Amino acid sequence: MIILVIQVSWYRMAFYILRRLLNAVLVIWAAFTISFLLLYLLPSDPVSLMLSSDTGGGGSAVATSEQYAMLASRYGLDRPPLEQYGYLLAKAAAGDLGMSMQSGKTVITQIGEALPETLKLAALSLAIALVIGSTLALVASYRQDGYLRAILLALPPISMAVPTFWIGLVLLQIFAFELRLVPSLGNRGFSSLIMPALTLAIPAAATIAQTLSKGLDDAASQPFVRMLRAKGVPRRTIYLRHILHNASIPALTVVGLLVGNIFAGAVVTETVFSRVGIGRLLQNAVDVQDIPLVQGLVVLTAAAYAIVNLLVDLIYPLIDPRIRRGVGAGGDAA
Amino acid sequence: MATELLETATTPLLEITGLNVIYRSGTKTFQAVRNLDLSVRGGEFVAIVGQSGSGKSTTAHSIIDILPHGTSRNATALRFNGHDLLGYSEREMQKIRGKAIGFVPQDPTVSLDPVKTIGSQIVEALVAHGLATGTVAADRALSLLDEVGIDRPQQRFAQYPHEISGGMRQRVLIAIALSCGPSLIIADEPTSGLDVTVQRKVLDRIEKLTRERQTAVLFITHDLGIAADRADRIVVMNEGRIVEQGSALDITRRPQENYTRALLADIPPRPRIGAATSSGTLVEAEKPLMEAKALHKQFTSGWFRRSGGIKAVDDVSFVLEKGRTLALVGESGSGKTTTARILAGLTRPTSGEILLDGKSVRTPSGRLKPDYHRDIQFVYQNPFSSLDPRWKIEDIIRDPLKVNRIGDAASQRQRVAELAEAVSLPSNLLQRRAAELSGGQLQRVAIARALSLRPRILVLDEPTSALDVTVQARILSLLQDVQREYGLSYLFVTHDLAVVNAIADRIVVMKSGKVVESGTKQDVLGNPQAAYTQELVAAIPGKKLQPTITATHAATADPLLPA
Amino acid sequence: MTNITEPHVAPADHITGRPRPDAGSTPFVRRFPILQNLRLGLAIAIVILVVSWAFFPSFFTSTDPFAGDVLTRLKPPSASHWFGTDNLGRDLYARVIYGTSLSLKATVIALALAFVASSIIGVAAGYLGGIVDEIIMRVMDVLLAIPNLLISLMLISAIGFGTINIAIAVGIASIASFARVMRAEVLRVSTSHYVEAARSYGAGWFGICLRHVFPHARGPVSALVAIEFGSAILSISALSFLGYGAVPPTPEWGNLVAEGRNYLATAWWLTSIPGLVIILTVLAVNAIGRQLNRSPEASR
Repeated sequence: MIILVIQVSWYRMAFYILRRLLNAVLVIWAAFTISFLLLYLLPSDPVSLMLSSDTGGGGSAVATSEQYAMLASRYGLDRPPLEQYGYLLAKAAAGDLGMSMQSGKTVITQIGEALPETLKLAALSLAIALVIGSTLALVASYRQDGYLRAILLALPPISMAVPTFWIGLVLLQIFAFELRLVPSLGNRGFSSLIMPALTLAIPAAATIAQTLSKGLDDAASQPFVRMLRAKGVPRRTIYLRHILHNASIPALTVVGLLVGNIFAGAVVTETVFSRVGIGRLLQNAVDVQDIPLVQGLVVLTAAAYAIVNLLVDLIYPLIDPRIRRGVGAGGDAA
Repeated sequence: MATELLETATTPLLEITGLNVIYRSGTKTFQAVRNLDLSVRGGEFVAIVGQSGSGKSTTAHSIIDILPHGTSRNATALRFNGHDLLGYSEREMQKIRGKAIGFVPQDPTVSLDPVKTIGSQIVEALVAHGLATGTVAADRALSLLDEVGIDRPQQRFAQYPHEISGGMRQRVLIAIALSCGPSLIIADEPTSGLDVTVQRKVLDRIEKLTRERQTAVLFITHDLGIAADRADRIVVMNEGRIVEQGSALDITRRPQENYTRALLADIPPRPRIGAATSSGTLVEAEKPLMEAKALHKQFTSGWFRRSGGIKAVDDVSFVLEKGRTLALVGESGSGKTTTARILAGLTRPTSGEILLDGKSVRTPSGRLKPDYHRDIQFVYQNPFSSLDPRWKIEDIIRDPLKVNRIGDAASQRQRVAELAEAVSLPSNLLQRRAAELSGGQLQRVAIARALSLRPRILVLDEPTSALDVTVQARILSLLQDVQREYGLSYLFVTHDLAVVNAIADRIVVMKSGKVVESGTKQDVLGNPQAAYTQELVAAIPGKKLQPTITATHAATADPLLPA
Repeated sequence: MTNITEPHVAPADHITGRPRPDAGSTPFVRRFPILQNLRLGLAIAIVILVVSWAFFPSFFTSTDPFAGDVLTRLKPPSASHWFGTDNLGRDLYARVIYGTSLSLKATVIALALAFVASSIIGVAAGYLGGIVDEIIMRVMDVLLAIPNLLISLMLISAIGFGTINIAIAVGIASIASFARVMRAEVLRVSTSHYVEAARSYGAGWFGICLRHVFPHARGPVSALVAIEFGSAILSISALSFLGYGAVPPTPEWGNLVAEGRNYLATAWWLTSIPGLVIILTVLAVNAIGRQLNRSPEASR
C-alpha cells in the first residue's frame, strides 16, 4: 500500500520536474523572441545601426553598399522577418548567438570572458543580501515589541527608494576615498569585489527582508499558531519549527526573482566601479548599439533567471508539501 | 437558584470569579466579558451558549491565556485544580496548556500547520510536555488517531492536513487535545463549519472519549440544541455577561430569563420522524410554475483537460409550484448551490432545460431570454459580499429599477420606501452605506432589492446560514410574510433541516450532485425513505429540546431587539 | 457557514500578540500616530515643492544653471551656493532645480504610457477572462522574467538615446508588472457577488464598470501609480546616469550625479546632493502611495 503511494507521487514528481523544465526553456525562448522583436524589427534599419556601431555610436561613417549587403546577408536581414527569425533562432539553438559588431569576436566568446567576474559579484552579493535580509527580518519579527523592530523594519522601504548607482558612489566616497580601506576601481582581487557586491546586495537585502518579515508576520497570525500555543509548545519552537518554515515559502520565490535583478543591477554597478563583467559589456553594447551582443546578453540573463527559478521550483516541494503531492490529492471523507 | 446546590457538591476543577476581558484596537476599547463567574467540576460537561459577540469564545481563550496581545484580562480568581492561573508566567502557563487543559479550536481547516505531517503535530504535544519521545510518542500518536476514529492511522500519520477532510482534521485536533491526558478540555465551537452528519460524529466522539476518561469539557457553542443534547450544565451568555446557568434540563425546560426563553423560541422546531401530520397546506395541487429537467453541470478547468472535471450537478429534475417553497437540501459538495444558480440563470448548465410557464427560458442558441430577471431573482448567502459596501441602501434597492428604466425618479423612490417597509427596514437606514449595517439588516436589503422588479420566483441560497439564530428566525418569518403577500414561489437552498421544516412545502434532498429523495415536507421529514435522508434527519441537534419548543414556540412575546 | 464569534478588533498576531501590521505603514511610524500625519504632510510638501521646481524654476533661483564662473569652481555648499558648485563653477542648486522639469517630464511620460497600456491589457484580461486572459498573462509572465532595466536597454538600443526615448523605454518596461496588478483589481471586483447581482438584474457592462469596478479599484490603483511613479524616477535616473538620457550641459537629476562622478574624491556634494533629492522625492511619493493604499474605506 505504502509503496504504491510512493510510486504515484514519484510519477507526479517526474511530471512536475518535466513541466518546470519546459517552463524554463519557454522563458529562454520567449526572451529570445522578445529581444528579436525589439532589436531587429522595431528599428527601421538594423543594418545601418550595426554599421554605425563599427565606428562607435556616432553613426557618421558612410558605409559602402557592398558592406551593407554583406552585413545584411550575414544576419539574414535581407530576408522576410519570419525567415530571419527562424534563421537566428536555429543558430541560437545550436549555441551561436552571432558576432559582436564592435569587437568582431563571437558573442559567446565575449560573454564567456566577462561572465566569471559577474558570477563572482552576483554570488557574493546574493550571499550578503541573504544574510543581511534574513537576519533583519528574523530579529525584527522575533522581537515582539520595541523600538529595534520598528527601526529595523523602517530600513527596507527607505533603501528601496535609493538609486543603486548612488549607493555605489557613496560607498566609494566613504570607503575608498575618505577611509582608503579598499581599492576604488577595477577587478583587483577580493577586496575590490566587496563594495560592488555590497552595492548590489543592499536593494536585494531590502526586498528579502520585506518579504520574509511579511511572511513571518502572516504565518504568526495564522490560527494554527494559536493552536500550537494552546498545545503548550514553547514560543521558540513555534517560531523556529513552524513560523519560519511557513514564511520561507514566499521568501524563496522572491530570491528566485532577485537573481534577474542582480544581473540587471550589474549594469549600473560595474559601470560605477569600472569593473569588467556582463553588465559593463551590456552598457558598452547599448552605447554602440551592438545589436547581436545586446540580444545575447538579454538571452543570457533570461537563462540565468530561468535556471535559478528552476532550482527554486525544485526546492519548493521539499519545503511545501502542498506542492509535493498536488493540491486535492487524496482528500477522503470524514 | 437551583444551581447553587449543585455547585457546592465538590470542589470545582476550574473556578473563575469576576472575569473581565477588554479588547483594545487603537484608541477604542471593547469589553468582551463582564464580571463573569464560572465553574466546572471534574468530569462535568459544561456548555457555554451565546450568539455572536456574546464573549463566549473570549472566555474560553482567557482561561488558558491565549488572547491576542494587548487584550487585558483581570479576575478576582482563576483557579484550576489547585493552580492559581492568574499569577502564572508564560512559561508556567506553557506547562498547563495542552497538558492539564486541552483545547479544540474553532476552525479545523486552518488550525493545523499546513507544512507539517499530522503525526508530527500530535507527537509535538507529547514531546513539548516531556511525556514521550521517538517511537514511543509515535505509537502513542497512532493509537490516539485510532481512538478518535481515523481509519488507516499508519497512513494518515505521514499525511499533511490538506490531504484529509475537515471532519478528519477536527478529529486530529481532538487527538491532540487528548494526547497528554488533560483533566479539562476546552472546545471552542469545534463543529461550526462542518456538515451536520460530520458534526454529529465528531460530537459523539468527543462525548464518548471524555466520558470514558472522566475528562471535564467546557464546550463553547452558538447552538442551544447541541448544548441541550450533550451538556450536563448550560451557561447562557449575552453581551459578555452570564444570563443564566443551570442544569441542561432546567435551562431547556424551565428557563428563568426572558433572553433564554426567546433563544429557545427562535430555534426552528426539529422535525420528528413518524409524526407525519399533514398540516393541510397542500390540499390543492398547483400547476407547475417552473420546471427543471435533467440538469447537468460539469466543471472543467484548463485548456487541454479531457472530459474529466467534477460533476457538480448530475441529472437533477424537479418542479416548483406557484406560491410554494421548494427546499433544496444537502451538505457541502452536494451541488445544491450550483443547481440554484442554474435556475437563477447565473450558471449555464452543461445540459438540461428549465421551463417557465411551460416554455424554455433559453433561446435555441442557449442565451437566456432578456427579461428573465424580471421573473426570477437570486438572494445570496452572504449579504456582506452581495451588496456593494460603498453604496447607499436606497441606491442599492433602487438600482434594478433604474437599470430597467421602470418609472421616474419619484416613483422609484416611492417604490424603495414601500419595499423597505415590506421587509421591515427602518427608513432611516436608507441613507446609510451598506458597510454600516448588520448582517440581518443587510439580508433584508438584499431581499428588498430582489423584490424590486416584482419577480414571481426568488432563489434563496442559504439566506440565513451566516446569521445568529434570533436573526434567522426573523428573516424566516419575513420571508413567509412576503411570500403570502406577493404570492411568490421560493427555491430555498439550505443544509439545515430544521429551517426546512419551518419554511418548506416540498423538499429535494441532494447528495454528490444527485437527487436522493424528493417529496412533500411531511413525507420526506416525517417518513424518510433514503438512508441518507434518515441520517440527515437524525443528525439535527436538539433532540432533547423538542417538547419545550413546541410548547413555547406558539406564544412567546419576543423581548429581543429587532434584527 | 461563517460564525463570527469575536467582536471586531484588529486581527492579532497569535504568537507575539502584536496587532497585525496594516498594509501601509512602517511599524516605527505606527507607534506614533502623530508621526504618521507629520510624515504625510511632509511627503505632500516635498511633492508640491518638486512639482513647483519643474514648472517655475525661476521662482526658486535667479541663477543661470548654465552660467559657469571659473572663480567659484568646485566650492562646497555655502550661503551663496546652497548645493555648492561644479567643476565649471555652475551653481548646483540651480542645476538641480532646472533639471527637475526634464526628470519629471520623463517620469510622467513613462507613467502615462505604462498606465494607459496596462489598463487596457489588465482590464481586457480581467474582464474577458478565459483564453484571452490566459494568453495575455502568459506573455506578461515571460516579460517579468526579463528585468525591467534590460527591457529598457533593449528598447534604447533599438530606438536610440535621449530623455524622451528613455521615458518610453521605462514606460514600456513597466507595463507587465503594472498590468498584473490592474488585472487582479478588475478580477477582484468583477467576480464579486455584488457585480454578479447587478448583472443578474440586467445592468450593462459599462454601467457596472463605472459604478462598481472603478470606484473600488480607484484606491489600490492610485496607490500603485504612486509607487510606480517612484520606481520610474529611479529607473530614469539610472538610465540617464548611464548616459542614455539628456546630453550634458542640459541638467537632469541622473546625469547631474554622473557628471559629479569624476570629482568623487574632491567634491562629495556633486553626487550626494542630487542623489538625495532623488531619494527624498521617491520616499515622499511612496509615502503618499502607502497612504492611498490604506484609505480605501469600508471594504469588507
